[in-house]
Amino acid sequence: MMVAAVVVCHAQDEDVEAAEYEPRYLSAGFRVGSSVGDVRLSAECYDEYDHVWAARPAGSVWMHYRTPFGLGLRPEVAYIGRGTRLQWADVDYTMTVHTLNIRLGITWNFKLKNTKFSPYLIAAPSWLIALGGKVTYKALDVEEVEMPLTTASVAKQDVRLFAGAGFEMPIAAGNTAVILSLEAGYAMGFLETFTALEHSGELTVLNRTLDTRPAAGDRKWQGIEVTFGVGMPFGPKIVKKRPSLKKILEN
Amino acid sequence: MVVVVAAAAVAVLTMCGCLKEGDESILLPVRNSTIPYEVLPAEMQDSLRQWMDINEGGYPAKIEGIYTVKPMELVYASDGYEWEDFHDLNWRIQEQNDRNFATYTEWQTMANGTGREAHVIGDGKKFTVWTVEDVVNEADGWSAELVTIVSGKLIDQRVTEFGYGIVMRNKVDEDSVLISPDFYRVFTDKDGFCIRRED
Repeated sequence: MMVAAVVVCHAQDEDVEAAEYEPRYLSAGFRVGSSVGDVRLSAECYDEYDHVWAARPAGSVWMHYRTPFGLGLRPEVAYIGRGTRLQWADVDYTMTVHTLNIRLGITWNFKLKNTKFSPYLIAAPSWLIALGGKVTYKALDVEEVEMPLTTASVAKQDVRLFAGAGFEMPIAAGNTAVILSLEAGYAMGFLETFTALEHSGELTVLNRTLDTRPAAGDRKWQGIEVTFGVGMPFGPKIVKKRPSLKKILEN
Repeated sequence: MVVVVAAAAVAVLTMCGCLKEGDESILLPVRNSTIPYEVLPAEMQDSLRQWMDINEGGYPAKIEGIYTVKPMELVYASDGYEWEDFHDLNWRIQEQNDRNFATYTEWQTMANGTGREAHVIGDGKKFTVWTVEDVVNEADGWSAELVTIVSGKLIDQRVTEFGYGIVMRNKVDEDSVLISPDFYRVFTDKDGFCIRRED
């Protein structure tokens, strides 16, 4: 009976310890932060332009499924603001795009000894949908123009890969824990975002001058995202293999 | 997990229709090194080159200033026009910036010309200014779209190898007082150069 009492007490201590520090299979939460982005223009005729990386808000809701050996899966629905600013002589062009990102992150958590701090790596292919946005344009020969983005001026969809790193820190909160995290990474778009109409020039050009030309080459997005996350674990605990009764009783 | 995926799917389906249909855009200007064919077709440019220089390139000299063509001489008229006594021509380039956009003004007897968008192309001291002008004369009942080309080589305060071409692109001219579309006239300075007066 005394042996059983020791075993139960030991198990209870482990339960408290597991609730505070051991991750559970599932967690969910949200992230907020900033996306600092730009475009990659492949045509040489745009080499004259200076690129100014533009900062926009970013936020998401996510779930995380962890395995005992570090690998995890993190589906996520995110709002990412994308933007760029291009300048050449008197020309000042600014584009802002509001996007919905559907991501499937693959994570790898590193477990460090004697600390709750857990760094991780993430790679997340994303499907992106443009929701809207605007372009503003200023130049000497054109009155300032502001134009909402439409299907004629930006591609509806994009496919991107996000790769980054971060760290998690579980904080005890009553009987459970809150997982705080900080993450930074780079996102690269793969699909062309100029439209067919922009390439052909068969559309209404709001800033038409003698030197505006149909779009040349490719325009693809890129950006750095830095976000702060808050999550709550739930579901079954990832419990370490318990020592056998014989080992408990050994000297 | 199922709830999150379902919520995402609903959000996606809802948001897919958010980007509105449209037919407008803002396109980026680029550096010109030639006169675009939509301004002057290649055949027209080749024809003009028999009578004046069209200097190409993306990096011409800064040519801001006022220049006087005196006396002005007709080199060639593709419609057979002949005349000898022309008023002196003054032309001015202002605000030429790094993308070679400038404002071009010309006048003869009275300094009442209106500045219009022009582009400068060329290489080093050799330049070509080209501009498109819409002219309306309500009193005489005509309107016209003209391409003006000015070329030369800037050496100190003079433009040598000077050429001035006018090409008629389109017109509304019931009384036929103007040359017909696709015809052109080329002039030069009889002295062989035009003088820069001031910046």
